[in-house]
Formats: sequence, C-alpha cells, structure tokens
Amino acid sequence: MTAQQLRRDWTSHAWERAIGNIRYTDDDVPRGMTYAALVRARIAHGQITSVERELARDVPGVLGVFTFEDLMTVARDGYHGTGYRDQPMISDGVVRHFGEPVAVVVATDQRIAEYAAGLVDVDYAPLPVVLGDREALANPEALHRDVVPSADFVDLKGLKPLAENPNIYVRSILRTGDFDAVAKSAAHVFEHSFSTASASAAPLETVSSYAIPNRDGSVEMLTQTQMPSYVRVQLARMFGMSESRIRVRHAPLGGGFGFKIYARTEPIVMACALLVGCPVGIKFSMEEQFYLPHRRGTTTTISSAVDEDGKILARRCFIIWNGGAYADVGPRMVKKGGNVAAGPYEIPVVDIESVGVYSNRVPGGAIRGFGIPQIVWAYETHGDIIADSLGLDPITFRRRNLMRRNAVHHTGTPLGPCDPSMVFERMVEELQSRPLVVPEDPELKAGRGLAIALKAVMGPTTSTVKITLNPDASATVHCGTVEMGQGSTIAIEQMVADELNLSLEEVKVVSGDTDSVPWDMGTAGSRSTNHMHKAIGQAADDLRTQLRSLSAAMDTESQIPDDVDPFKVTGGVIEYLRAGFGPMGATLTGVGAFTPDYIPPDINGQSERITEFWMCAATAVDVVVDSLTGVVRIDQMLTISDVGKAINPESVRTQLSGASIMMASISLSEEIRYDDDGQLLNPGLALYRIFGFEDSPKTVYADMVRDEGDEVPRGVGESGTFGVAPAIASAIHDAVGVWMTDLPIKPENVLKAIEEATGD
Amino acid sequence: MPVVDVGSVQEAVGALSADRDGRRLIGGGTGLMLMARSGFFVPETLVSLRRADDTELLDIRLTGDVLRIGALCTLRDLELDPAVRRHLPTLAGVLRRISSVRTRNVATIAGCLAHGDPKMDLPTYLMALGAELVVASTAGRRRIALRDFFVGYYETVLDSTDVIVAVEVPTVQPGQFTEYRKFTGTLVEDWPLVSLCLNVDEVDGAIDRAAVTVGALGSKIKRLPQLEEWLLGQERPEITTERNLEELREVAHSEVEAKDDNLASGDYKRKVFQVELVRAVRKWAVTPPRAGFR
Repeated sequence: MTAQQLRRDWTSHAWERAIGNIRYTDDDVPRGMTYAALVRARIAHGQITSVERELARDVPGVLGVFTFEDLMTVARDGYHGTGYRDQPMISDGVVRHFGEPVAVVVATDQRIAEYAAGLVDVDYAPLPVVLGDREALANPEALHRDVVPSADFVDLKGLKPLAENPNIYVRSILRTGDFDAVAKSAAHVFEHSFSTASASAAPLETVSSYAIPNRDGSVEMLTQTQMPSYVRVQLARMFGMSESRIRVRHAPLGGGFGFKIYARTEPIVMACALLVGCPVGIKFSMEEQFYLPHRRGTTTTISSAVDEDGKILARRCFIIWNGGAYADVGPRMVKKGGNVAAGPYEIPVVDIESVGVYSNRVPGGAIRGFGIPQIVWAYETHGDIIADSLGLDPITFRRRNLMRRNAVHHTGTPLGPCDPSMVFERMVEELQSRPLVVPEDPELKAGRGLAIALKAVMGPTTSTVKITLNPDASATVHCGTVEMGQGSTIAIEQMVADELNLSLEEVKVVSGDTDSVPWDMGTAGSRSTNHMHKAIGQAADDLRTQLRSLSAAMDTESQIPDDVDPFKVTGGVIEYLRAGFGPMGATLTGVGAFTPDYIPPDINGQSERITEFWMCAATAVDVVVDSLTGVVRIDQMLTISDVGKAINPESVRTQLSGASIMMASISLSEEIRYDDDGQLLNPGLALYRIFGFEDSPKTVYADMVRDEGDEVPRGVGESGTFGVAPAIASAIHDAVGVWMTDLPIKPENVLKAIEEATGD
Repeated sequence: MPVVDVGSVQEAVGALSADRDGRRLIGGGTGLMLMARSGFFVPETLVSLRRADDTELLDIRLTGDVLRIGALCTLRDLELDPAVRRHLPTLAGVLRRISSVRTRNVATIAGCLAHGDPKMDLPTYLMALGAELVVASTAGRRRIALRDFFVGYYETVLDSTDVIVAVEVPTVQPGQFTEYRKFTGTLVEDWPLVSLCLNVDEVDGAIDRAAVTVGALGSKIKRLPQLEEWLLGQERPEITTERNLEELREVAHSEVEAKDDNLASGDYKRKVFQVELVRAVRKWAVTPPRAGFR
C-alpha cells in the first residue's frame, strides 16, 4: 500500500469518528432496560452504621434498594482487583474514599433511580482520613486487613503487603550496586523531590454498562471496556458462572486512556440484574466518573552522583505512589514505574525503591502511560537541574549519558532495536530546523525544553486471533482488540492484508463480542499492535500449512512448492480451497496466540527478559511565559517516537500528537483537589479544567524513527505522553530561569518562583 | 420542576407574588439549571417569559445616547446586533470570551445580571459603562444603577417578585476608551480568576472621567472609587512612567482585596489585578483617542 493510500484510509476512518457516525454503546441500549443509580458516601473514611431505605423503596417505579449484603446473595465473591481482591462491588460496610458507592437503587427509569437514591439516608461512624503521599506512608492504621492477592498475573506472583506496614501493598526494588559508596567519592551529588497530583482521564463518552439476564441463566453484559476478556473472567469468578455463560459485548469506545480497564461498574449491574431478574443498566454522568480511578499522585525523591564531566555514576530513587482506597492496577504500576525510574541513561549503579500505599483518596488507576509520565517528570527535570548546575546545556548532558544502540537496561534486559540516542538525535535535528520564536512583548518570555524517556510494554500477556479464509479467499478476522479511536481496526486490517496478500477491502475485522472473538488480555499498555502482529503471523502460518495440505490433492505441478508462499500465488488460494472442499470451496480457519517470554526478576530486580519490547520517545516544547502572571502557554510541541514499524504512519502521528496534547493539559491544568476531610472538590468538567482547542499548542508535530531493518510494530499512544511535563518545565526554566517541581505547573507557583529568584 | 409560562411582565410579577418563596424567574437557565442539577439551589416552580411576545423584552433600541436592551436578549443577540456593534464596539469581544456559542445562544442579559455571580464577565463590563436596570415590581417600575445592584455573593437588591425589563447602557462617545481584562489563569476559556474593566473619557490627552470595576475577586462586582479618583487628570503618555504606575499599583493594593480559594491565593489574585490594571492603562496611553464616528 502506498503512503497516500494509508493516509486516505486513516483519514476516512478518523472522519467517521469525528462527525459522530460511529455507534457507541449507549446508541444501542436493548429494550426493557431498567436503571441503577448509586448512593455515594459523603465521607472519606468510616464505618456505615445505618442505611435508611424505606423512603426510596416507596417511590413508584423503584424495583429495589440494595446494600453490599444484598448483592452478595447472588454473588460468590463480592471483591475484585487485579493485584489484590481488595475492592468490594460497593462498600462492604467500611467507606474508604469519598464518593464510594454505599447502596444501589434500581428503578424502571434512570431519573427515578437517581431521585430515589437521593432519599437513602446513610449514617457513619467516621474514622481518621489519610490523604497525602507521605502521610499515607506513615499511617500506622491499616486501611485494609487481610487483603487477598488475585494471582491473575505472572508478574505479580508472590505479591503481599509489607508485614511491617500493611498500607504498603507493594514494594519494588531495582538495585545494581551501592549508591552511597559511589556518592562518597563522586564530584557532585544532587537530590531533588518532585510531586504529581491526581488527575482524571475524563473520557467524553461517560462510563455505562448494561447487564441482560437470559432465561437460560446466562448473562449478556454490554459495556464500555478496554478488556472484554478479562471482564468476563472477573464476572465468572465473582458470580460462580462458567465463562461460556457470560457474553461481554462492547462498541468502539469514545475514549479509553487506560480508564476503562478491569471490572468497574459491571459487577454492580450484573448483581442487580440477577436480583431483580430483568435487564439493569448504569450510566454515569461526567461528575460521577470522577469517582472512578484517577491517575495516581506521586512523590519522587531522586539523587544522582555525577562526575566532573557530567557523567552520571549512580542514581537512587524513592517513589511513593498514592494508590487511594483500593490497589487496582497499582502493584503492576509500582513495579513497572520503578523499573524505569533511572531513565534511558547508562548508569553503572542504580538503586530504586518504588512503593504503593493505600490512602483515603479515590483509587488510583492507569491513565495515559501507565505511571511512566510521573516517573519521567522526576528524572528528566532532575537531569535538567543537574545540567544547569554544572553549566552544561540539556543536549550535551543527555548525549554524555544516553543509552545507545544494543544497550542493556538497568533491569538486565537488552533494549533490542530500541535506541534512545537515535531518537534523541532525530529530535535535536528537528529542533535545529525550528528556531524559537521570541515574542515582541518584553513581558512575555519564550523558552524551549526537551525530554526523553523509556518504557517497557505491559506484560507478559496473551493475544489470540482467528483468521477465517472465505471461499473467495477474502478474510474475516476475529480478535479482541478494542477500537477506541487509536486506529486498531485499521492497523489489524492492514497487517492481515499484508500477511495474506489481500486488499483492505478483502479483510474484515470482527470484535466486540466475547462469544465470537478469542481471548485478548486487553487494549492497554502499548501491547496490542505488537502482540496482534505476532499472533496474526502465527495464524497466517497455520493457514499456509493447511493450504499446503489441501493442495496435496492437486496435480503435482499445481501443488505449493515449499519455498513459495501460497498467498503469493495468483488465484491460488481459491484453487486450493476448491481442491480440498469442492467447487464451492469452504472456509479455512487459522489461529494464532502470542504470549511473550518472561523471566521473573530476582530480589534485586534483575532479569534478562523482563519485557517483550521497549519504547522510547522524546518530546520538545516551546513555551511563552507571562513573566508578570506566571501563565504558561505552549507554542509548539514536538514528539519523536521509536514505534518500530508504523503500520499506518498517519494514524501513528495523530495518536502521538493527541497523546501529547492530553498530557500537556494534565501537566498544566488538571488536578483532582480534596479538602482536609477528603471530599473531592472538583468533579465534572465545570470545575476540573481540561485543555480546549485554544489551549493546545499552535504547532503540534509528531514523527517516527526506527532502527534500519526493524520490521516489528511496537507501542505508540503512550509514548507521546512520556516527556511532556519535564519538557514544559525545562522550557519554563529556559524562559524565566526557575525550576518547577510540582505538577500541575500552576501560574501562581511559577510567579512565586520568579519572584523568589529575582528577590522581589 | 414545573414551569409556569407567562405572557407579560405584569403576569410574571403576579405569578412570582403568588408564591414568593417557592417560585423563581428563569431567563436562559444556564446558571440556574447548573445550580439545580447540583442540588445547590432547587426552586419548586419556575416562572418563564420565554413565550411572551412583549417586544420591550426582546428589542435593542437606540434612544439618544442610550442603548436600551430588552431583558430577554441573549448574549448571542448582543454579540451579533449591528446597533450594539456600532454603539458598544467593545462588547462583542467581551462576549466572545464568555462560555460557548451554545450557551450564549440561550443565556440572557437579565439572567446574567440577576444571577449575582461575581465571576460573570458581562456585569463587570456593563457596570464600568454606567449601565442601569429597569425593574418591574408590584409597586410599579423603578430604575437601579448597576453599581448599586449587587449586595453580596449571589445576592442582589432584587426582591423575589421583581422582574428586570431592560438594561440601559450609555453608548460610547468620542474620546472614550474601554478595556475589559479577563484573566483566566492557565486556560484560555474559563471563568475569570481576576477581571476588571477600565472605562475612561479623555479630553485633550487627560482623563476627564474614569470608571474602574473589579469582578471575580470578592463576593460582588464593584466600582473602585479610589482608583477612579487617582486616574482623574492623568495624562498620556506620562501616566505610564514607572513612578506613576507604582503609585497606581499602591492604590490598587490598598483598595482591592482578595481571599484565598481553591484556585489561587488572595495574594496572587491581587498581584494579577495590578498587572492587568497596568496593562489596561498602558493600552489607553498608546491608543489614539476615539474620534466621532457618526
């Protein structure tokens, strides 16, 4: 396919989404739906002492008012979670965060349910509220007792809370030497602390799910999820049903961002549907979505021992991940974030401790980059401050330290085709062609900054695919990858078309229904295109083998020679199918299943194979700072990413730039705020402010770079987010000479720093 | 919430008088419905003039040097109206930075004033221009200067049975300069964190009359008489000497207070007010005086 064709395909695909031609989950709600509404806790921590539900029950149209105990009459296990099964469907008698559901009302109409939910009166015996990162770490009272590890993931094997502090539900260590020993004799030692606030993904398609019980006892779940297969696993376990009796369906998502992973509202509507015996749905408002998991706040302390020339000799990091009331994705994020906390730099000695703690915030989840942007924020800004202190420019400092081709990461796993120095030099080259624009107004200061980062793909997890060759040699592809605007459908179509030598029109992707598509861990963590590419390769080989044996029935000269790809024989496939099945032909199905190899790390975090692949990306921004008010506006933002082979370069570029704009918003504007009692102060987009078009950079540019001969696609979307925040901070320093260490970067703090620096 | 549609201002006053505590007049509903949805303020019954075909409520009319704007005119009406563009040329720019076109299509000028929210942009601007309100009540009609209209946070001098009929705004005259400054902080489109409006008349290069209003900072939008006093007689370009600007900042510092809130400290907002005030004054100093335009 030509570049022009690829561009056209992506544009028409994106256009359908932009003009609203896509049918989303809520566009096709089955008839006869009743609705659930949640009664939410008005405190952040406490014991529920009473739930008064008579008033709500008496409202005409109300079918039931349920507490956790009621839901448990139809569930086998009321708890879910990926690291620990610590999260009850709704509060199990203890409220652990503000807005936690404490009861659920089901009514014939959504408005009736919401009205009746307002009539449920709940009393609490309050308990102490712990919110801050360090406070959570120091909290002597265990927020959870006896949490059960879920054992769903190989990389979380052996997970258990720390005996000395059960609020630390995971601690991850990566150690290659003794930091203090190196620091003692180093020319310079630097230490800085960085923080990030909680943020919400706030997808514009707000969360909904619908459970439809069938007469035969099976249940259909129509929901918005990035992980249909895993939702089915969780529901089957929680409700004691076989997976074949649960059908999870979904439409393309209107925004995922890592927000719509794992079981969220599904267990609640499933329990309600089983209780009332009819279809039950739930539909969140934008405000309510703010009680679903947030990007977790972090505090990172990072120290580096550096020699005279600016070469980093050793680095130590201590990261506190404020996980909120339930661990959710936390254990994995804490481990994966800790693994890469020293950055894409050749550092002989690293010593990293990464801990996840419970608090009374809304649970922490994964949003855009699986925690990596919080880590990059710390190490890249730290690096820039070091360079500045040593009188080195940020480019020289990085050149002296960056990992190069064929490097081995601090974990012991080789970087493979991923080459940070190549990505970096491509960015430097791009910047040279774009001089910084200096505003005429002397009160406005311009500055430029850049950052680079490394991430390992989520894993090890499995993707499977089923490719059916139709009698006319066209292909129907069954796979569980979820389309959410990132362009996965078009990428899969292209990969299959390439592999099977077909045109795009001859390939159809079927997804969105666990009854027909095989297992996929989920569309998250930059895994899908890579894993699906490998699974498709297997499925195509499976088909090749079958075609070969079909052709055995043909004349010797028509059989497929061993060195010939049957898909490359013009008109061949139809003939082989006819040779095997008669003049009408028949379908032939090939399957592929890919799971990466994985070696668990030792006690020092070392493994030769901790990830299937690495991704590296650099971000650069030009900002304009109002030196009198501290307001920062982004003039230009550039992303260079090594995504391996870009299946559809145009869709990759738009994914990268979209991700970078979203992260710019999180870096400058977005912050979940709590009062001292733990009440969330800004749910909803009126109070929680995200970037609009006018806030977005005037120029957004994204491009890709890869090692020669690298023909394997790797991750895309996340990589656009990695370096945005530190690049902004670096640009602010370039403009007005101050370092910002807390996210989001607020105008007031910038102004305060400017005033302190100038002695005003 | 049931809605009682009334056909005239008189009927509206009557409908509101029938149950002064439970009933509330609704304009475009952009403010009130947000409050009701969040449970912050939920009236029992709404009284609406949306079906009234009273031209007084809908017209924009020029009478002498006063533009009379009917209470039900939407912000979008004002933004696009030729008479408003000619006689209040700075208004369209203020309106374009208020919310979205969708909201401006329904939000009314009277609702925007009666809401009493200090973070509204339009009242800060209109107060500096010397706008007055025509209000109907059971006792007949009366006029209220906008500068006397706001009492506190979401509080105005209106009685619950009063109905705003029109807003009268003096048209722009030769020599007049108006600058509305809206400071939103990080995002371009947002409620103001700090807002102010400077409206001055100049004669022979000196300020002859000055009005300065401040919004968003305190519990209500208000005029700033000390700053106005300081501005009187100031000349261009001398007003922008560092000494003069320092004096201006000092007056602003003593007259304008601001409290800490979730978004920023009072200290910061005060500083930004001074920055934005200086920027408005500087802009006057470099803008040639408005000539007659008829």
